[in-house]
Amino acid sequence: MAKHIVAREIPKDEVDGIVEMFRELGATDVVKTEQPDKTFTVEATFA
Amino acid sequence: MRGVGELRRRGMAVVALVLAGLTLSGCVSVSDGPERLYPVAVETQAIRDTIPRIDFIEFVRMSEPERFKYRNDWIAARMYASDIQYTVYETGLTKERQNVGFGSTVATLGLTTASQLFTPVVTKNVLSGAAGLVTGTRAAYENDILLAHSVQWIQSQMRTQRSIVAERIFRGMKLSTSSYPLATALTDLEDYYRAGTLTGGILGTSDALGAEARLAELAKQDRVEVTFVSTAAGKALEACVLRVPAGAARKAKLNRLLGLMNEPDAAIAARKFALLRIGQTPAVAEGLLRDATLAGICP
Repeated sequence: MAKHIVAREIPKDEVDGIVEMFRELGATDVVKTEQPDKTFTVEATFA
Repeated sequence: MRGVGELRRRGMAVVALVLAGLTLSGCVSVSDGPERLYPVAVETQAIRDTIPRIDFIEFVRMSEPERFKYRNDWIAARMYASDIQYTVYETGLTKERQNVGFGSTVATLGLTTASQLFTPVVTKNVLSGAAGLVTGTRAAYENDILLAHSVQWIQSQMRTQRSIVAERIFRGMKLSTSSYPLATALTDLEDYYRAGTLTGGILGTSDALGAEARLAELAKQDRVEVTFVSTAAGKALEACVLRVPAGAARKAKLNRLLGLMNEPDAAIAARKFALLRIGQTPAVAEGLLRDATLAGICP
């Protein structure tokens, strides 16, 4: 069964690395969303 | 004329005794390490002579640049002194745990081998009896093997805890003296010292086991929603992987890292790694980074 990980309040300078890392770890549907406070939320689905 | 068998026995006896002598006289691999430029006591005294006692009244009267320099010089000197003393302490612990099994095993092997090589019955019996005594002593040490492994684990926790506190201190050293006051730095230095004690290691072990359990629990959940926490270890682990261009080499490095997590299920290991990256259980991330560095996987 797929597992979802959601990380909130990620600063701009770290978000792209996290997205790339998650993909490298085999996550699918990795989505980053900018929040009004300029931080990012990343959601990913893992096996 | 001596028989070939007797000559062979004598030859083997000489070889056995020489080998035992070499082993017992102390090999380089079990010594403390290369000789120091200055003995620890001399170096420690030099630090003590160099840094003055803290004068808080004088400190308050200084300008900010002077306070900044005074605080950082003081912290650096104290950390260095603590590091030297820690090396001695850790070496002592390592020696203690190595000597338990090593000494008794060598003695047992030496005595039983010699008893097979020497023919006179009395000598053989004496040697065998002595070997039995040593073996019995060793049996009493069997429990110590468990202790030796525990000490090894505690030592690794001591290192981890020290590096966590050191990181906090280094961050503080970049701040002004109003953001990172001298008193706070002193508290951190005390933490740094405590982290390198056996008690600190035992507490760290208990924390680490708790963190491992917490991480395992998180990795099992269907949905984990957390607030991101930036950690130096998380960033370093990511950098270690992503600095390799995407492709087979990067995948291989990541797999080596995941292999260090002692998690047989690859999917769970990947989720754990993802959680470490987003700041969950920083103590586990620190431990993994340290292991990766020791294994030559990460710088």
